[in-house]
Amino acid sequence: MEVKELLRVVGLSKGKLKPSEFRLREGEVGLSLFARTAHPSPDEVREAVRAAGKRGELAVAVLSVEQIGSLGLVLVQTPGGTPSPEVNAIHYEACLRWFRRLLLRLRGIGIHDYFNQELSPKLCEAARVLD
Amino acid sequence: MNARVLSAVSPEAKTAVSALFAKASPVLVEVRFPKSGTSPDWYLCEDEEELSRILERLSTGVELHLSSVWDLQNVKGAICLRK
Repeated sequence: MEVKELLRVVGLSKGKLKPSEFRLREGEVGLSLFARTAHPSPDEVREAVRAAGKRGELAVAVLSVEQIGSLGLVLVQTPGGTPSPEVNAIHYEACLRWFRRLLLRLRGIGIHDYFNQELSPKLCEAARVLD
Repeated sequence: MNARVLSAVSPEAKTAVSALFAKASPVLVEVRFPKSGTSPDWYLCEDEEELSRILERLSTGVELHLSSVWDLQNVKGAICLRK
């Protein structure tokens, strides 16, 4: 399956997207995303996340593979954690390249700190919310 | 350093949660959805009943990170639960 676009389920604040929707928590190595496919559809992805217990006005934001790659991130397919096996099968993580991780470690900078400061605002700016 | 993750239904978790509410309420609860393509939810709980209501509607694998609002800098004092 060729992946061209990826999805993130986001909460909107007054109808707007915020960089906090694209942050890593300490201990996470990549931003959790889903491939955009016809089946499961973006709506099914959103409902799987809602079924996990996520609350709020949920929308689906889209990023292209090119946008993610231009930020120095690589996509790694890993099993998802929602209650839906079909949705879990299209789960990816956008991770820093190993050399960047090595440099950060040598400088004593946490991956999540770098990601949140440098990349979260850019991912937010690049993302497009689906109608 | 992250606190150890406890099963939400374990006696150890129940004891730790009761102690946290008794000593340092209100408690800030961060609900994380690992590998679910979304950001955490946040709640402020005054008592254990509120926490129980949140736990009831979460699916397996979801993580809860509990901290007293009076001591948010103390990472070792936080409690991590997995549903």
